[in-house]
Amino acid sequence: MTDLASSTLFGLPLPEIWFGLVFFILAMFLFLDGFDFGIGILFATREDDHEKETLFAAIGPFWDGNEVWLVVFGGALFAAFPEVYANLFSRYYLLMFAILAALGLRGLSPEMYEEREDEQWRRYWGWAFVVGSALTPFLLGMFAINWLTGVPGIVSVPGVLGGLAVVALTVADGAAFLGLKTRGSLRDDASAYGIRAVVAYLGLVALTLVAIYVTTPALQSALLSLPVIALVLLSAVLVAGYVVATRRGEYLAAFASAAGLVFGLVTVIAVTMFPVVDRATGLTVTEGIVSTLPLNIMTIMMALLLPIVLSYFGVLYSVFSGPIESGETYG
Amino acid sequence: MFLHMQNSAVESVALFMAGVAAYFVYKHYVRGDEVENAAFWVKTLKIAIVALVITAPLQVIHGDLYARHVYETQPQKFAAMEALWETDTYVPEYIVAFPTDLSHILDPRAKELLGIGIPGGASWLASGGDPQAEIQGLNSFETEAPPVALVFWAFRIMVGLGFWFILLAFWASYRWYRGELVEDDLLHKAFMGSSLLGIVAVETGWIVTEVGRQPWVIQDVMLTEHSVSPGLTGAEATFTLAGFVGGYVLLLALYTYVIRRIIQHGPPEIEGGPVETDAGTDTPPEAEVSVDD
Repeated sequence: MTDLASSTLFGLPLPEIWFGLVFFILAMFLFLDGFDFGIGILFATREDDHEKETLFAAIGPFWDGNEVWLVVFGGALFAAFPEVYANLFSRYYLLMFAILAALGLRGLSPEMYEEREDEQWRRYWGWAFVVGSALTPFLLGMFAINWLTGVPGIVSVPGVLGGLAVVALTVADGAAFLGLKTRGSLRDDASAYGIRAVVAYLGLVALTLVAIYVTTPALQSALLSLPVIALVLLSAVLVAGYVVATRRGEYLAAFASAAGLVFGLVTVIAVTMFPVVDRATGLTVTEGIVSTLPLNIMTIMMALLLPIVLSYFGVLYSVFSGPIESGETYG
Repeated sequence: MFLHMQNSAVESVALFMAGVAAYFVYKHYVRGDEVENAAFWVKTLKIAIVALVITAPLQVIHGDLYARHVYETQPQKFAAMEALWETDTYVPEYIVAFPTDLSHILDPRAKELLGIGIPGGASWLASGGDPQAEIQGLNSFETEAPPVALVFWAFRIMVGLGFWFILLAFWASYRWYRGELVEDDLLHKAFMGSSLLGIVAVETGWIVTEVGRQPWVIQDVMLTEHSVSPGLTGAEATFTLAGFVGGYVLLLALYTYVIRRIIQHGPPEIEGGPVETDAGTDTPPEAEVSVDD
């Protein structure tokens, strides 16, 4: 048996593969938990108790499974690029704390909402749910853009714009998912919001890229590279596709467009960043990668586990596919 | 460690269940107040007692194994648990320790404690049967000792509670065996008083583990002071610490409120038939519960 500590498995370019994998996992999270956030934001537009209950029921079986992808993202980053993980979490310490608090609020509020029927209690926890659902993607978007630009502080113009873009994207994502899960006026309203959100996303993401271009000279040539331009054009096509599909009632196509937009955005970030993996320290993929032995072991583990995880997600989503039936609840 | 924690989780929940059930059993059978589903609460109490009879002795058994493991891998922690400063043989295990001086509460030292101890007990525990075994004292380590008083007393509270739970388990099963479970009001009160003690034992156990490991964050590899993020300011750390404490206090308050409500509502109706109710009470269970979920 070959020595696992001396060279990478089969001579594969594992640093680059793990760089791609980390961003793939981030995109999975933003797409999957994204619709939970979007539905949480759309919750603010509902007055009727029954409709609110339907929104809870739509995300009930999925949201905590979806959040596993965030944990895996942190875990994979820590395992593959420990120095980057340490730098990012130290540099954006308070931002991480705020993300944790927002996620906590988002997770807690539906549980509390369901505890009592009291009107004021439910109004309060309903708003807590909306705030947590909006704040989490906003802060995550800020984090992703700050990571890319390497800005030392937490609040930056590209970061804030990027945060808003991600919020708009999650609303579009959530509205498309509601297209699949609901019927009637609830679905019509969600579709209308989804269309507005996806158009807003396109504008915001364009503004974010311009802001990065202006504030971060080191990234200018990467932003004008062929793959980035192609991805931006593709995103514009997907936005148009989302609008057309939603108007025609083809919600699965709209949902797929939303997925394409999320993966497109994350790919733009990854492509612009590469081969650097932490702009602030200038650490590149090959410098930041963990030593060979753990890298090989992790690769074997990931090759075994990722297909299992992906297939049980397949089972989960097919078991709970189709519209919410009357009487289905969160619990 | 894994087993010790898993088992303690079951044990603390059993104690909590028993405490809640004992309250209703006491209210109904001893004080004579009407309680819906009194039979349900008796059954709950019995299930909790069964869980306690299994977990309470096990907890002490693998606690003992675990202590030996600590002695082998983290001798400094073991010395702190015993407040042993100088390396010694034939070290006693103090079951109850009285400080000879008030200052010894905050600075317990094995040599200066007046207590009921098992001669050679600590040596016996550490070596797995040899009361003459030598135990390294805190002064023999190059690194600074952990806060000894905290570790020493937390360890004693945890172990003391562990034995109290065994006593409770046997007391309760004896009463059950004699058919006197619903009448023994002292037992009910003991259970009510012990509802949260399982959690206390878990917390003190973690204090022994985490405070006792200091100054290492990874034993013999990394000191805690070296593990602090370089960019972190004192203000940031204070802010997030306050945030965590405040957040969790708030969560605890919410949790207490919700659990109180759930307990007061009693068991929900079960689909396909009513819950077995006591012959004396025929009021239907509150309808609100089933609507709530």
